[in-house]
Amino acid sequence: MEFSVDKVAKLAYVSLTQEQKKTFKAQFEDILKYVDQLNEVPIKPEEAKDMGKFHVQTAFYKALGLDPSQTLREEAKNEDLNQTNLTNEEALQNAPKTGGLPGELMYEVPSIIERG
Amino acid sequence: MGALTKLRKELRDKKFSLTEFYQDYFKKIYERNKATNAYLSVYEDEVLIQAKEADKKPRDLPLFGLPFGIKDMISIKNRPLQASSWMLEGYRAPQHATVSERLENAGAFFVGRANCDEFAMGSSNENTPYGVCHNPWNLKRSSGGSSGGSAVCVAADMAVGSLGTDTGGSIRLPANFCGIVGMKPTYGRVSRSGVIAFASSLDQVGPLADDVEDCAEILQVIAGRDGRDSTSMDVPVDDYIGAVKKPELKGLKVGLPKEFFEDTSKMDPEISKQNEKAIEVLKKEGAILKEVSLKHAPYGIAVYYLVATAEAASNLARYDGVRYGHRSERQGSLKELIIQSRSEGFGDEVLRRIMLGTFSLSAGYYDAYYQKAQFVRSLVQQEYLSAFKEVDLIYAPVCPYLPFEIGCHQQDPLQMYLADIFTVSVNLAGLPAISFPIGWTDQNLPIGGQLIGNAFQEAKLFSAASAFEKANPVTRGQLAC
Repeated sequence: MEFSVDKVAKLAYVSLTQEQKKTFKAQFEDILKYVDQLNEVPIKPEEAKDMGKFHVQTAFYKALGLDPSQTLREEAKNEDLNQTNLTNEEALQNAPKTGGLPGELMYEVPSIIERG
Repeated sequence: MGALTKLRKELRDKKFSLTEFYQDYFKKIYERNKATNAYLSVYEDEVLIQAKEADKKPRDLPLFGLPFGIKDMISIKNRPLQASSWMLEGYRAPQHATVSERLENAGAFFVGRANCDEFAMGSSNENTPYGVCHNPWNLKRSSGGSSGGSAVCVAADMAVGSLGTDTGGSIRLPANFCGIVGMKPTYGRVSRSGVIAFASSLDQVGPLADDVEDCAEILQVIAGRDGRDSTSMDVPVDDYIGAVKKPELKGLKVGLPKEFFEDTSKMDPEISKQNEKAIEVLKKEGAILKEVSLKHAPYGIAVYYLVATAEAASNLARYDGVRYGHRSERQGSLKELIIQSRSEGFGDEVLRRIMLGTFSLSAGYYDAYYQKAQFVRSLVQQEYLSAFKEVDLIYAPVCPYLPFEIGCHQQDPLQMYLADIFTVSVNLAGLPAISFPIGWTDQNLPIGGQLIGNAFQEAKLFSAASAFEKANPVTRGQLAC
């Protein structure tokens, strides 16, 4: 299986030096060879359709006699609504760059509309 | 008596004022931090002000005035929070994490921000631009990771307790390398609100302490449902302190996973020997030993490095140089700003994991890697839960290696990942586990073992680990710092 460092870096929104590309490529090949051992685990056709749906707490809720979806909904309804959010000032205090009028500060980023 | 319990007693007996205590204590912290690099920040000024105020108050809170180290993944309001990464250089937490709030309400003082691997990604506390964290028993060796600073600050008496996070063994491994006790609670037992996310379905906050009793004291304070974290479960918190006071192994069925013990060729011989001795101790104390099978647990590392990296790739997408974190000066367009900021801000291990996760989630590979890993993860959990129908607890080693020489695995990440072979499956299954010292080598290095419990069975773990500790007291060596 071909692992394209350039393609994955692009998808991950990172850029790598030539040296990183070389090192990472060799390391990824080793790691992927290692994780290929998962192919030793057989999957029955009836298991395949639900394969990615695992949720770690479902078994805990079932063991406690609770319906996970119902429980999460109820808890959200009861508790999650009454929370204080960050104020504008608090949200902006860690911003690398802000701009705008005093009292109406906003995050500042490079222009995304190019001038014609 | 552990350091936490001992200091609390001295404070309650009014042997000294908090101000007097901290004036001396910070001298020790600075001296030992030079050698170990356990703390990235030390909060002397803030703590001395707090101590002066607290000296006027009654000393009845459970953790009144006690010094704690907090991993640099957990928010303390208005203090630096960086995940040991350049990406978050200069960031200050706008609010407390729930666990910090609970510790503070119980009277704890935060003396320092504990070193860790960048974004908790590592097993050696070497993956950080702020310097390696050294093992206090041998400074050339690793402290273990990722919560290396949290383990070292307790082992070197620079705190009586600390908090770490455990995504694949990051509390138990450093606790093991530093000769102290560390607990990874059940997923959902402790709130993750205010904790920097690495892999959200695996991360869990837990305590590190001098002994089992101290560890129970801390979990008692931080455990319980929190409305700010929907994955924290509304399950009553047991009496952990009471459980430690009733140490019990007699009659307990303890499972020994045959997959962990059948091939010890890759395990250090000293670790193998100490684990055999530990199993003898369990037997002598009346535990009923039974072989159990966790057929898919050996696939844990493969599953973990697909699931955890996929979640990391998603969680770390928020670091774009816009709202917080490092912003590159080399920017033209918004897209370039994001790419350059991420590439400059993250270290190699973080980049490696983001890319591996991105790959396993990408079109064409999602079914073969991520979905398959999730499927095997479900088998790992099912096998653990089936085993707990036959046994009360499971015993396992923590790590196949002794604390390794600093730098020895840096060019071979796969070898480093294999340090977690006995710990990751517990996170995949969401279960609680406690690691504790079982022996000490002639080279002055600690060796630990772990007990694993069924979901929300932390009290049973504390009771059994406490019985083990009493039956097999481990004499520590000489600190090297």
